[in-house]
Amino acid sequence: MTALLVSSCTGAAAIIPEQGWSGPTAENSIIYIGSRQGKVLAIKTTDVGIGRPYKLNDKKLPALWRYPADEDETIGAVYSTPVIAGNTLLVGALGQNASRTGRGNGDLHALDKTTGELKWVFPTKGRIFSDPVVVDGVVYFADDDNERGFVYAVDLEKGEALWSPFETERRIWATPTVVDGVIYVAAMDKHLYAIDPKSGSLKSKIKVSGAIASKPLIAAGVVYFGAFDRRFYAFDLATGQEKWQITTEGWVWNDAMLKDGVVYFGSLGGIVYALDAETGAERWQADVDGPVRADTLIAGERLYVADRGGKLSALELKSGTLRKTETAGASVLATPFIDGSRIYVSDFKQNLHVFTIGP
Amino acid sequence: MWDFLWTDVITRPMANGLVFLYSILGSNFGLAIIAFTLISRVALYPLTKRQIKQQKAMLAMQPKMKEIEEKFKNDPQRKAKEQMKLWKETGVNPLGCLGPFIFQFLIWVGLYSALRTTLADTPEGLVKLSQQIYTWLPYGDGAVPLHSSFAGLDLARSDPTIITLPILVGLSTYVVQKMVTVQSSDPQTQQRNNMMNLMMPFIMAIFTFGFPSGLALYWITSNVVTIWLQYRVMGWGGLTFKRPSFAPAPAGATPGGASASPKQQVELKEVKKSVEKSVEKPAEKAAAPEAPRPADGEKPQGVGGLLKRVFLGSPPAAKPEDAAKAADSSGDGAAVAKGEGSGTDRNERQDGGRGNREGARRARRRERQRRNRGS
Repeated sequence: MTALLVSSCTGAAAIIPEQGWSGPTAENSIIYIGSRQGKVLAIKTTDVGIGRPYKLNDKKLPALWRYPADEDETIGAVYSTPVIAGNTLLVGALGQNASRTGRGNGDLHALDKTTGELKWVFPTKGRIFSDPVVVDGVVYFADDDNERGFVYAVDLEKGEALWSPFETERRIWATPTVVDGVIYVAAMDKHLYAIDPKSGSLKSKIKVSGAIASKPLIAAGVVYFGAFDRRFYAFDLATGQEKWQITTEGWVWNDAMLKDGVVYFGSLGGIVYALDAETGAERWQADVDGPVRADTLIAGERLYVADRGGKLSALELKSGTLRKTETAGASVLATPFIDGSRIYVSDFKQNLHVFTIGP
Repeated sequence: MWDFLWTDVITRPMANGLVFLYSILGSNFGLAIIAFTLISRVALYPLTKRQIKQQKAMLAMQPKMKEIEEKFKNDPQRKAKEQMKLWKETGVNPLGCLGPFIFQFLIWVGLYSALRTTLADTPEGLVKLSQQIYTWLPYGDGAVPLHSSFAGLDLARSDPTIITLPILVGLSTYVVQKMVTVQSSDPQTQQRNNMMNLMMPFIMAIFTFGFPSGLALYWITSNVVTIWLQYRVMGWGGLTFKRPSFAPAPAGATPGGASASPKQQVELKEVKKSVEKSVEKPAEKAAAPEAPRPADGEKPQGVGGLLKRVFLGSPPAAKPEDAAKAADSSGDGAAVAKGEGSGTDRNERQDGGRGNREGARRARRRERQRRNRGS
């Protein structure tokens, strides 16, 4: 009773707040990642050792730069994995008040990737949960404003909007994909939208029976994506007709990967699937125990799967046989990053791990 | 173990129930909460019914309480003893009214957890929700993510106006408290009741201030149901703000000072009769050597006993069926006290042995009269 009263008075009784799960990205021996403290960090790869995780919330640990540089300043919870475009690093955040009010006024930040200085910031009315995508000098990204979703097109150099945001009925948490001059973006209103990147107008849309938070995978005129209705779909883009669908164990909330005619993805039911891209026939499925939210990654003949149980599993690409397991120690919800022979994994306790890939 | 009980037995079924109601009620979470509240109130109806019966019995025994109050005003210990005895004999448990309230509060706490899960609008929350929805639940996955807006409110968040919902919750809780609280003849008890009548609304209003407004919707709906039930059965109770009076009640007034409908007056009279019977009968019963006495083994002791008394309203040393009879408003179910005679005769109280003998003689005399009438 007392605890309830205290939590009520302090406002701690709100619905589970946003905390952030930014994944790492790396280039030229530098790792870029967002932290739950509302910072973006640039870290030398040598500062992260095997068996020696880098604590993102430890201000004393060395970093090339931290953004914002002011210790007390924050950009709000970061779910977006930073994206590198030339000398610019793009990262979306929920805004300073997001965690307190539950309704952020998120911003897309464009930073100088060498110095961490702000180039420009594009303010939105909502929360940015997905990654930005850069094509031909234009940044495409999405946010949610209360119940609705918006897709933006912003000039990479100037940070100015190119057209009025495209609006969807429900939130957008999925990263857009731009293929063959069309933006594809999935929304929580159970639709996959095709948008004209020049004008921001709707070209076509596909409806399924569940909310979609996965980035659509497009290959050979077919779009693949999973949804919260425990299904994985393949649609013909030219006709808008469904090619096939399968029922999955749990919701699908990660981006599918394609290699040699096989589609790979994991589900929140803890199962990893390998399906024939043409027919949807199952090649294999593997149980990794923990729910899989992070995207699966392919390196060589291995499929790397990080799960909510804190494990990183390396599966044989052809058979799904488990070859190696590493332990992060806490839930992994953000997508890891493969950089040569190393894989960087950030866990929910703000530790950035590095593991070697291969045998 | 507790985690399993809390999650799998309480909050997960609640969360799935809310998702299902949301799906079949036009994707409206406000309606889902209202429907959930009504269903939970139907489930709690047996307890509510018992509570109202207890309340009726307490109203009916007020004159007796007043009598005790006056008789032992200089002897608080004796007064408390006699009051306890009266409660015991009439089968009234002053804590009996807490049963439904405690269950409602438990539902409120469970609902808080269920709301946190179902109305999640953050990635972390949705990952959690994905593990909670039953695979067999019709429309379950298709409903996600749930719309949390209702009547201008975001049910997942606290009241944006800050004060509207806390005031509504506080006010409705106050009305309920006033309606269900029986006026006491004891000034101290009455003072305590008055304090409770103010404290409860205040606490609930404070809770509402920081918690999701969906919880406030549940509490207000539940209070409206209680107000309706109370009014149907007991009238406005203590809500009329009249000075409590335990003098012979004028026609159309309940012992609590509130006006009652003719039907309610008849019911109360019946209960009153039953209470009076229950305090007279023990003297007769005491005469019968075979009359069951409150054996020590019968006394519900410990946590189980306390819970039984609180939730079922049974007297400490009476069988449940007797307690039920005592509270029965039909009049024919007057409590049959199983203890020693505890009539209103002062001598009987002061000298239990003599009282018993006199009681026995009276009982034999009545038995003879009854036989003569029968023959």
